Amino acid sequence: MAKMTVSVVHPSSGNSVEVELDSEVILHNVIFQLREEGFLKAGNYGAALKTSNGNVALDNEKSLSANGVTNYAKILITNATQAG
Amino acid sequence: MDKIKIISSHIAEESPVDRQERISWWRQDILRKAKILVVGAGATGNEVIKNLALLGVGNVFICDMDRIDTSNLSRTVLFSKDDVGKKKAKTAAERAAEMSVYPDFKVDYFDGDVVYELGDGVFRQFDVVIGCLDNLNTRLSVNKRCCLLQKPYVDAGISELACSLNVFHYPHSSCYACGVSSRDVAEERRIRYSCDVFKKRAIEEEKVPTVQISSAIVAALAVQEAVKILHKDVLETEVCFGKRYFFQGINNNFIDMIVPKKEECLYHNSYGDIIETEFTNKVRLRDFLEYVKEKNGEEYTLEVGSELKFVISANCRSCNKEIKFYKPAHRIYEEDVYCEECQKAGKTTNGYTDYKYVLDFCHDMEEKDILDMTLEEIGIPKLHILSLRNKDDKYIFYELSGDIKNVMPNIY
Repeated sequence: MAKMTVSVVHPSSGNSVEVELDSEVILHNVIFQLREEGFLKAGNYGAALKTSNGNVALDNEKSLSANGVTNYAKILITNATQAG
Repeated sequence: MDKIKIISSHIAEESPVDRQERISWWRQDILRKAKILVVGAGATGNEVIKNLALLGVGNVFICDMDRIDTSNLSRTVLFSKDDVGKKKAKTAAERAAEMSVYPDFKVDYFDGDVVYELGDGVFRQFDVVIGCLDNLNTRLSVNKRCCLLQKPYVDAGISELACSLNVFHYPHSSCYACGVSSRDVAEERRIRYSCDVFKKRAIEEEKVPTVQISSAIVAALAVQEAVKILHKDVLETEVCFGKRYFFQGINNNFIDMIVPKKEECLYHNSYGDIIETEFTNKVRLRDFLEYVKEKNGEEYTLEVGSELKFVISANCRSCNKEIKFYKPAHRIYEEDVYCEECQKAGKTTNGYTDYKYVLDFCHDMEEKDILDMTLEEIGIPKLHILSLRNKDDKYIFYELSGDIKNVMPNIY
């Protein structure tokens, strides 16, 4: 599995962290680990990949590589907004 | 040359929509004729309905199954203290009628479960569907109907100071389900249903922290998208479907993103041509099947899909004794799946039970007595669209159009 470095942007503070991870790791697990590390508080999150053609919503069930995330990509985390 | 001489002057009576009509591309006649379906009349639904009424949208249908609670009052512009305990859909419809800029504003409401009791034909009647829901299950159900009928679906959601707006129009774009993970769907099912198919009466729903501000923001965006969709033929800029807009109010961060179309998405289906009939869901199954046979010269089987499965019987979860139901699964709660003796003895263990059900209804079906039940009794909602299959797997679609006046007495 190839290693990659990505930048992850916090949904409310705008702060970011750089993380090194396997390209085959599932996005859901990345978010879980970011919660474990204290970067994100408990809760549900989504994510978008910043690209030159705009942001693309990512699938939490897919790996980073299957989501089209490449080395040095920027991932924007979004809060779940389930309430009405 | 003589100066002009004004003989008389008239001050134009100002229209309540005068200012918006000054927008160059605005067509108030389009809004006045428009029909919008609002699913959910909570905090966001209240704001959406208020906006539609003030804009002069002519026809609005409001759905909600809940009653007004004290905790709603800080977020609901249409409800007041005296409304606590009243039905949300009915109360919102009454207030919208008072608030509308037009005396001939038409509003109807549905007070019930959108997932199982609102027929697909309802969605067919509307130009835009706006979802103001608080759970994934209903969002997916509304999305399914929007896909089946190829209707634009604008979905709003909030949490704390954040909100998001999803704008879809299958088949022209991805659909809401394309952006939902299977893990979230499985978790939602776990919350709402027992490990077999039966509904849980008490749902462990999390109370999400919200505030009226974010519902007002997202409702304004939702209605603005609906206005643009309605003006699609006169606007120079196209509405972007297949998009999600996320706004985080804490840092005013706005992210717009594309939701890619999932080729494997199970929701990407549409009805073919729909045949209107004068039937309501009070028709006997036997008579309906006979009508279809006469019209088409061959037998057709009514196929209801797994969400409307009809349960013949189930085994008691405790002692395994057979219990007759003859009811659609959505009218059976998990505590009903115990025999009388076990209920009396308090033997109520959780677990999976075997049950016998029907998804296909035809003259040759094994349980002939079902043929004498009405479509309503077998779980078909009013104004539903029925899928019928012949022996060559060719489908035709019949709508119970006779229900339209029962469901929308003011709009129709």
